[in-house]
Amino acid sequence: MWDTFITATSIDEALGLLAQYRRDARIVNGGTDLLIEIERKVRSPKVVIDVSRVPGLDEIRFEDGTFHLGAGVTHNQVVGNKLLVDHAYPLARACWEVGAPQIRNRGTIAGNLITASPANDTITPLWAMGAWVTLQSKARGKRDVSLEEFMLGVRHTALEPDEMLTEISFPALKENECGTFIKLGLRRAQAISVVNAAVVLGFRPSPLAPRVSEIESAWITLGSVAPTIVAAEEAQRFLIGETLEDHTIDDAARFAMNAARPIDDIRGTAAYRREMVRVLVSRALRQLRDETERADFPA
Amino acid sequence: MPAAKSYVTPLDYEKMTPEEREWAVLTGRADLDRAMKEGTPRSTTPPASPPAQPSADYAVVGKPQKDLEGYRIVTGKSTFTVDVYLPDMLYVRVLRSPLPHAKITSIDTSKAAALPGVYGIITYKDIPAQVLAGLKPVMASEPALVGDPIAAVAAVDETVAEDALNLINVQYQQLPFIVDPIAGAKSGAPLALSNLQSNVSGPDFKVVRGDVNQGFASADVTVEHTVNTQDQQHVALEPHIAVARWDNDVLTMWTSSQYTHAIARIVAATLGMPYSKVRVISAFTGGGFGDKTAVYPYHLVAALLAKKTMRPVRYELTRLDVFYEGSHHFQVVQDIKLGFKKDGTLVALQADSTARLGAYSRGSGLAGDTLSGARLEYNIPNILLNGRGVITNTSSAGARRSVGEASGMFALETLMDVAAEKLGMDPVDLRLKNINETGDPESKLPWTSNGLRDCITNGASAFNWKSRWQGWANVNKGAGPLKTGVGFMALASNKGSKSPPMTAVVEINVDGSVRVVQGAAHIGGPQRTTFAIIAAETLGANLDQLSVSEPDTAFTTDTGIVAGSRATKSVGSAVKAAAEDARAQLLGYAAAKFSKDLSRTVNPQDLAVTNGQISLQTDSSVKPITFADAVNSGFIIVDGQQVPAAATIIGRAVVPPVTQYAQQTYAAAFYEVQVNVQTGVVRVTDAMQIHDVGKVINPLQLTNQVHGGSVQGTGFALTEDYIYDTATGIPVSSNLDDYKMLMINDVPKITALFVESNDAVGPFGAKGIGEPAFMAAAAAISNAIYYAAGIRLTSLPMNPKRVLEALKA
Amino acid sequence: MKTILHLRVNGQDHEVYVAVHKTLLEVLREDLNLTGTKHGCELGECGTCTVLVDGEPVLSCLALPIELQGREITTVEGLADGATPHPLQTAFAELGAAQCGYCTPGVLMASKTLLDHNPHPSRDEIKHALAGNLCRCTGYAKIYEAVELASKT
Repeated sequence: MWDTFITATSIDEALGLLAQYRRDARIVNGGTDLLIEIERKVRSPKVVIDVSRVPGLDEIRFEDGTFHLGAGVTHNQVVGNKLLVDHAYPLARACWEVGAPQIRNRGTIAGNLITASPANDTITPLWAMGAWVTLQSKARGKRDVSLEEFMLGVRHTALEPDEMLTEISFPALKENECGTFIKLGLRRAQAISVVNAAVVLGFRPSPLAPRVSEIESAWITLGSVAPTIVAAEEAQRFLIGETLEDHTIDDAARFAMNAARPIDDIRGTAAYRREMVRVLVSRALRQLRDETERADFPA
Repeated sequence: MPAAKSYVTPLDYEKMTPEEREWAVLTGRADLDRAMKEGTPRSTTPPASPPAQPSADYAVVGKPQKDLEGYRIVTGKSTFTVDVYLPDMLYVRVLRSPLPHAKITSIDTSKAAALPGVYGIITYKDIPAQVLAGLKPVMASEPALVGDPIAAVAAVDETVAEDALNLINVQYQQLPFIVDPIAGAKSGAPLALSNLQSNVSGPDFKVVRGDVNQGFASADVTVEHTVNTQDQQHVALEPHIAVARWDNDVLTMWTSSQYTHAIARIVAATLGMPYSKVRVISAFTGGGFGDKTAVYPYHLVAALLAKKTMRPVRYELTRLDVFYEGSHHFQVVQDIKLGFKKDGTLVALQADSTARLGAYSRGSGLAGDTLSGARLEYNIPNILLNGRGVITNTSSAGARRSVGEASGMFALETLMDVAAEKLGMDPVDLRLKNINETGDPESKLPWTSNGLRDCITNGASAFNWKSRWQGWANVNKGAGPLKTGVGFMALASNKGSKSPPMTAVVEINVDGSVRVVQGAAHIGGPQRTTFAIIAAETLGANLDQLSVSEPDTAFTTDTGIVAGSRATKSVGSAVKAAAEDARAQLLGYAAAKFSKDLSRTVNPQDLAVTNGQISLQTDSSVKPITFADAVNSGFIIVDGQQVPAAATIIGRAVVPPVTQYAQQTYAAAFYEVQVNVQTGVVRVTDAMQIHDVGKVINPLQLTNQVHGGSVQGTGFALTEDYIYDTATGIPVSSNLDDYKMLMINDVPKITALFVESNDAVGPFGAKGIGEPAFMAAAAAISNAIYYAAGIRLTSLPMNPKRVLEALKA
Repeated sequence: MKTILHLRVNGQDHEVYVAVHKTLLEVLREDLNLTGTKHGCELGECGTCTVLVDGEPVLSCLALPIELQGREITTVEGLADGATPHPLQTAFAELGAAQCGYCTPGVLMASKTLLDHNPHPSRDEIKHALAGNLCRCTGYAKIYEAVELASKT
């Protein structure tokens, strides 16, 4: 059990401490993930650096079409932010689907990324929206890393021992884009899903109804079906230039299955997970076509 | 009653473990055994059914009453065992086996002992061979499951204790292990413990009635299936805990328990102490569901470490510890076959049941309990039942809300549905045609009451079954991915009825207030309120005159266990009898006072008591007196003579078991489900249970029991699954993340209805409810899934993976 | 290592000297003798240990008190107004929505946040607010009814 607890009041101070203690140190902001890791015997830091008092870490900024979330931003803050709900719906949806208000209230998006469980719900939509993280160290300053480069495996990230994740950034969905997030759990309220999927589509501008024209860009990401989040690249490529007819949706959903490399575990067998990828992707595409993805989201 | 001759495996009490004996009582096996050994009455006519108790309108019984302890609970002031912190107390953590079966070749605790803040460590070397928790080692030298206790550390706090565990060096020699009971029963299977001859424990439970071969030969329609039900953990929210303190040679133990007196008795016997010198206290118990009925290693760990350190010791299990050390609703594999005449008359039943016992449960009693309902629910002239228990390297099987009956009912009532389709009958009609309304065909004893017919018919009408179930031609007729269907089951249970001997005391104090002295746990029933109602009704007192003691073996009588759905019926019987005794004395005092005040002889039988007032029935002009007036009169009438008497009245009762009748509870259940045929997810969308409770004592809390039972039963059916990795013997769902229980989001509307059969022996005609409410779910849900989607699922839980596999098959 | 913490709990200021790794749940129960808040699972799955921090529900088994200095912590002991129970407490007691009662403090605290934000919630809103609280006894029906009853008083 750790025996040193230091409250940092600035990022610089935190980075200095990380440089000093390196692998013995662990940043906390709320403590939820840390205490679970200790309970599960995943990690056992000697020094805990509290950043909950660092000003600005809980800020959400929107600049030049890009969102920047401080490392202290919680699920509830995302759900309660109208800009994010309007222009980053897949993430807002994932945050809302974390059933327990106690977790939504304290759990941070950065914490999800650092814990790096492929079942963490917010990683999948962030990946689909092309998010990157800002990592900072005393020795090397700031570097931006895409999620693909950041997430290396189960509970394994590119974060160096002396680094802190300070910000998560992603472009807002554009006028012609829409997206959503769907998860399947064994129970309605739970933090961890059997399978989850995020879809973001961009349509060619059309004078007719939205979302009936050809697809210009497609991002489909899947959680809990591989050691990290995976993008269903075959399905993404297939959708470009198509319109969302029933048969297109069915084909795209089948292509998405090919991206899944799931394992058998207690939450589901590999075969079941692969099948669920098809069902969830097809459901997401249909909802986007029919503009029903927000039907049950609280206004 | 069928006249066919029966055979039932007799019980050999000498060879049974204490736990097996307890199960025999709780599951009615002891009653059956006694009746079989005493033999059939010589008279050729079966004993007459007992008369129902009158259906009276009572002053307190049957009216909604809130829990007397409610305000203590909602203000956070109810003292659970976890809230016991004693001065100078030490905290315990336990090192547990990472292997399913091994021998310890060396164990070194010296580094741990040297850690500052560590005050005591025990391993198997410190425990005398005869000191066992049931059959469980307090500390194992040959761990027989993942999680068996290896070493326990008492330290100044849990963190230090935890750190000390990391300093203990244990070397194991790995031994072969067995997880699957079917494989384990085969000859040549690895033995779960090295001292076993076979993993099959003791003689099979066997029942023979009539000639089963002849029965099937005469059948027009035969149906059969194999059903596999899973291990479950109770997950009572208060983790198991014991706090122990020695005062010279007296041991006081606080523990979260369903039966303090048994804990005291067994701990005393195990440690070679007089029962009178072990005091066990359990003011509030945060759920039990059968898991807090026995003595576990943790009780003895706390006692022994407290003795070793001579400081109070607290061992609160972590959730993982509970999953390992707690008991489990056991996996059962059942083959069951039914034979019918064309008109739906049952003529034959054959069933074979294999129960996974885990490492430290024994006997065929648990398997036998899975067969109980099939033996008794319907009239079947020819049956052959076989049950066996198989010892495995898994957590021990034990009582869990119905013991084995929930699994047995799942097997029977899903097969009844299969049969109904094959016979082309409405499943409701098929049950109604075959109900055994007379009594136990083996013991030849008549039922104390049987309200099953009313449960079924009232339920069918309230659920609108005739229009929601549209015949067998409409199975799997819905369009779209969400398919809706309804399902039905009936059930008979040996729970909620059993009445071993028990005692209670009812005191009437000098101020007229009444104290019920009893030792039954407050575990959510709410039992104390039930007993207050029963005592108040019996005495003619107001409920606010009543208080009910908390379980503390130093001050309360042995009221019996709160398990087997029996608190209301059996403890209630003792409380009622004690209250009757107190009432008789009270009327003696009152008659003496009236006689003195009126200067004429007034006899107790001339008096009536209502709303806490004692009045002279024969003369309404005489002003009634209060309990206090009567008690303070200082005289009592004995044999017509006034004699001086002590003030406080003490009514006592020792209630013998019921031996002249057989007892059962009954229920029907109607469920509607929605099956997503794309994802395999099943949701219960409507649920109704109808229970024969004999008599409703407290409608407010009774409804709660049905809601809670239905939700746990739905968890049993759909989500809860304690899984072992068969390659490593490691349980993989031993936390609340992976062990899925239903939350508020998952729960449908649940309707609870009651049938009052006015049981011949229960207090005011009441029977129990806790376990039947749990049992009345899984089969109805499975039958509804079939009706919705055309798939029969015979393994529990019916999780999305299994549903989808069945749909693709 | 031990440290001095300044915690404000139920409107009262406390100074406690505790090991730095202690969770809020442990400090409340072991150092402040506020045992109304219960331990259920250690992994944030059962909601039993829910308390409020600045009015919002928090799992005290996964919260570090050292981070919560200066914040307003409310436990079940702070729910009543002196001897007058909170309407939620009255409703739970009167309707029998607390059975064994072990999960009840956590359920009450999560419900309080709901009613503070939304005095007349729908069933769906109650469902969402209590989605993190496991109850093994009641089957949740009486919990709905009690929150609704409290919202009417």
